[in-house]
Amino acid sequence: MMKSGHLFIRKRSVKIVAVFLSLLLLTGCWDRLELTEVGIITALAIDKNPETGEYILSAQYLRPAALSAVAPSPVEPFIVITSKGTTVSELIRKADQNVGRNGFYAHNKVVIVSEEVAKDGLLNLFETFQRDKRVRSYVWVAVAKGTMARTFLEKKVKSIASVPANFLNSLFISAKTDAVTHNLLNFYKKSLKEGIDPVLGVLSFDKAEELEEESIKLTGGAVFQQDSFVGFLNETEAMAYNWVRTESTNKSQGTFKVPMDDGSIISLRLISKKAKIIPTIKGEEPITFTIELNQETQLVEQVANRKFTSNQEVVEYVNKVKETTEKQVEEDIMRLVEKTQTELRSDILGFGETIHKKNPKVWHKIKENWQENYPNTKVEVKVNVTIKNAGLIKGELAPGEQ
Amino acid sequence: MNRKRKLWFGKKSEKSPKTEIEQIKGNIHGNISDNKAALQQIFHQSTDIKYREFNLPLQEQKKVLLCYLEGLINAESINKSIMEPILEESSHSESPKAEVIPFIQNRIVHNLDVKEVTNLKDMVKGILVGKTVIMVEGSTVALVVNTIRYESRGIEEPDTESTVRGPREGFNEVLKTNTSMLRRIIKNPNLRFEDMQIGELTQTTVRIGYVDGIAKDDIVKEVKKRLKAIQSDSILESGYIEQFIRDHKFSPFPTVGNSEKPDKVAAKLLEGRVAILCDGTPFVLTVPFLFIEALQVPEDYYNNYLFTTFIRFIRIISLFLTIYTAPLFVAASTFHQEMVPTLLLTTMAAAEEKVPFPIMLEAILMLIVFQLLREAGVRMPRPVGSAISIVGALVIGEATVQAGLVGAPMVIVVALTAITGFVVTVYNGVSILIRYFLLLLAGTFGLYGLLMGSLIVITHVCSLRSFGIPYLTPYGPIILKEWKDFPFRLPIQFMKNKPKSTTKNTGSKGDVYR
Repeated sequence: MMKSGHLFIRKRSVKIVAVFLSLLLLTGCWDRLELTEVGIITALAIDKNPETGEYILSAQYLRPAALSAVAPSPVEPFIVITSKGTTVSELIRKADQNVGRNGFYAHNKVVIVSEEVAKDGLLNLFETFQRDKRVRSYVWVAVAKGTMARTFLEKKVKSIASVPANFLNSLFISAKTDAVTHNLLNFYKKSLKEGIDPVLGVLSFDKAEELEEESIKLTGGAVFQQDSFVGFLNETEAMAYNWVRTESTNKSQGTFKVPMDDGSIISLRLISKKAKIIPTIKGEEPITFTIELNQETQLVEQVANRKFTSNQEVVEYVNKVKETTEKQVEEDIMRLVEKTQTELRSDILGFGETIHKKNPKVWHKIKENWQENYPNTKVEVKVNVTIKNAGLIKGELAPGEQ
Repeated sequence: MNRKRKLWFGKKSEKSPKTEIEQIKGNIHGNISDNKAALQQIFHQSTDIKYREFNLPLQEQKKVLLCYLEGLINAESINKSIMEPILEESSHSESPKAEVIPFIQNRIVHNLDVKEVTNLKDMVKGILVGKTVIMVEGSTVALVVNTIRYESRGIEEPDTESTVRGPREGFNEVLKTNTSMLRRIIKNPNLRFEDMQIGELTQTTVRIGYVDGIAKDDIVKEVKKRLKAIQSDSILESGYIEQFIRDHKFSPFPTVGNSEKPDKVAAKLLEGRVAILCDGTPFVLTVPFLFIEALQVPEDYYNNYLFTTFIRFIRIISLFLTIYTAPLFVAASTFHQEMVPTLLLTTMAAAEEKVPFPIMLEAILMLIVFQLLREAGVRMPRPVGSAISIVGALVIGEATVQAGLVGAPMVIVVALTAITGFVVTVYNGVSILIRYFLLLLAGTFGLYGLLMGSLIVITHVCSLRSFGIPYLTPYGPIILKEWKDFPFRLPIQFMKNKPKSTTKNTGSKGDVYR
């Protein structure tokens, strides 16, 4: 009796051990990937063949051996693999086949699309990014202006970073108020939401005539109608957009210049701002909007040919700067609103969204026709500029001073 | 059951009856030559047992036999306290009226420790510890005189627990010295010591010490009970005792503390712990032993409280690092590349590009190589020491990286693991075992496996107890009042109360002078 009992226990324990061992040997490791099997992708560019309508995906793979700290190799630290196809998942698969490694998209920094691709609508294109969770939501999305998207992956302009993707990433991170920068998540939020349309960053090559070298520039913005590209914003318009719309203070910071009546130019740096769009809904009357913007600024540059003799004069001058600035900012914003109403027909500032928030019932009634009605909506802009600091210099530096 | 036992543990050794001291029977004869014969039979022809026969210079000229073990006795002590007085003084004295033995005991022998024995067993026991037996013709009572010679190493700074600040003395192999060192620190009659002999063959003296009034009675009683229950031929080191009395025999975590430093043991005694001193070893055990004790060091209380608190956090971090660095590295680089910052990932990938092994194998190999070096470093004879360090630097170092066998980040991981492993020395052994366990899980299941493995370990630690006190006290159960000593160390003015978990609840502040 005793003996058989022990035998039983021993048999059972052997079975349990076997189960655990097979757990380790069979079930584990199914998703393991050694670093030598991984191809780290840092940037994607999507173009379109205008004749066949096929998409062309260019993926920038890192070549880690070339980045080794011990023995840096002379070859470039990245390679660009191109594949053609009709869907993104197919393109990704083909790229993996070409490079012989498992593409790893979690460290992807930038997705650049060409104008043609953007016109087709991006939601369908990016579907697999979201469904397969291959590309993370914080990847920067930009539209290539005036060139193919893949040129940004290949072209090596002068930059401190050795990999173009890192350079592009740092462009997005350090972008100031004259550039719109949105990542994939923001793009999704804005294009899927009712009453607001997205704006993406714009990458372009900039070649000054006096200089030989080209440089990559991230300025302005690419305006979308839902998820389809409709037109570009220039720097001033992008600035106005950032003042009204961008939540992050870092991105709304930056210097802007204001020409004074007497022909001199002053520069102001935005320290902080607060913007609000207030819809006025009164019964059956057409809805009107008021944009309220409070800016706190700092005087950083004053190219004036004059000298102040008294404090009174300084105060008057600052007041004048304030008035001129307010007027200019108002004009800038109005020009942006008009452009979106007439030329682009895209509600990028989110007027519809404010109605939705304030009075959902009204919104549900008008949302069907919002696209048509928006261009006729009346918008008013109120700007208040505070000049906090005028720097350490009294007046301007002029010859003949003691 | 029996068959299995034999298979695993071998045949249980049969004891020869001759070796058992307890089995020595018979009383002392009146006849000296009979006694000598009996002793000769017991000790056989052992060369270190010495007999000295002479005549008592009294009128009756009685025969006297001294018996002792050479080497254990202090010859000077025998000469001064036994031989000289007997040979000189007794000749001046008047002849005793009745018995000779009481006369010798009371008038002649100049020694503090003199005992009368009547049977052979006690006599043999005395001889074995270095006492001298005096037998007189015609008397059935013998005297056992303490002439023990203590040969000791001297009090040195212990190698295992060196300190920057604090006393440099450490225990040595002599029980008496060790006891005196504790007594010198705690000058209080409530410091109690109790002796027992453990080990049927070795008859090792084991002494428990505690401060009456602070130590919990239950714990003292339990310690005595467990010590009495030990059934063993031999006790060669306090490690034997530790294994016999500890809770959770199969756990890798230590539930009995040990120390070579009197100040540390004294501090633990004052916190209500029980010390177990074992003859022949400088390692004194203390029970109960809690998890946090390994992270506390006597120096913590001698140094500034802020610095101490900082160092304690460093210790906690290093305990975490020594266990988790390698598994985390393996899990992150084979399963969760997305969790590693891009720049770090490219560096790692660049280093691994030329390495022929999977990362888990690489980690295990490097860790085993390090263990080999360490073991060789401890065991090898000192003169060849430099060879090991040269080879070691080559194996775990640049040479392997340049040969392309191991990635440079892995060398850093192993080095970090090794260095941090020595910060909390008490858990060095445990952390090695847990590290390999987690490494296997991390290499097969990624962070998920690492988490599951950690859960198993933490659950196990939570289930431990040391002499009835939960291992994780004061964190599981939570005793907020005791948190002031871990991980923080508040200024000493705030630490008036003794820890409740280990001391007797008297309501007072654990005052020794009740």
